[in-house]
Amino acid sequence: MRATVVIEGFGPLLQNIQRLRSALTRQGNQSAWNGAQHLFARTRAVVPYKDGDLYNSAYIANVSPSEDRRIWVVGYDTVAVPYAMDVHEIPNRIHPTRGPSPEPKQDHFLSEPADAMRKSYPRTVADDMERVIRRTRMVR
Amino acid sequence: MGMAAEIAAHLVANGYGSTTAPSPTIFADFFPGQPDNVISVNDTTGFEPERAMGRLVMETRNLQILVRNTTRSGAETIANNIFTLLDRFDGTLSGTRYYSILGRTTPFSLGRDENNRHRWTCNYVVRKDMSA
Repeated sequence: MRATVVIEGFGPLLQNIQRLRSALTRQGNQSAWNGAQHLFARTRAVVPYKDGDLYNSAYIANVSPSEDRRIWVVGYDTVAVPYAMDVHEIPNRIHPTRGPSPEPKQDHFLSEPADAMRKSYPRTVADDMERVIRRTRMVR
Repeated sequence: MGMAAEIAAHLVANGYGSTTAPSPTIFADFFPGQPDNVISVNDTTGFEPERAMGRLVMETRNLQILVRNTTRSGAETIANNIFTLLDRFDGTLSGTRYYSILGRTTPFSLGRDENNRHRWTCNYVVRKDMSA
């Protein structure tokens, strides 16, 4: 006696997995870029501004090791502006509100915006991914 | 008493200096121009607090220890010794429960200031009850 089990639909299933994988990778890349841009904007809004050198030394760099692992670095060019670390770390200095953003300026102008988004960022990425899963058209 | 004052008192208790007149050398939330050799303990905000059942159960804050000294070795040694004292601390300070103090890095140099004094700093993440 024997039973034969036939499973159909492997072709479309593999196609759907591939589609979803591509869509999620694309969205992951976009979410990482969005996060970097957000941090870049937040830190430049509060970085002390005198002649604009420090403000203009802010950068976003792509240091991704592969297509599947997207890493962006937000920072300040401490070679071009050697006092960047000093301004970041020394507290109690008076930093007048100047420059393109009207927000008050502060020390720890990079670490504090990064800390502020640290807790919410995984949720933001998860929401992005859920949206992709809902929107991805499946092969039937 | 705020976090910076509690940590400053902890440093005093461990022989790092004094917070009181006439010759204070440890300052909470203040980094004065004089004297030359000082330790500044700064509360540099933090993260979203942890909530449970509608109430705050733990706050997560950033702490900065900034050391200034006339010699490089002096600043470095004090910063490293304070790191050894604070990193992985778990206990009660001035009546406030501290669940952990963890260095975000090890101490690092900020170079010299305009008066040729050496500065070393280290930032910590502190998980604690609300200070009274």
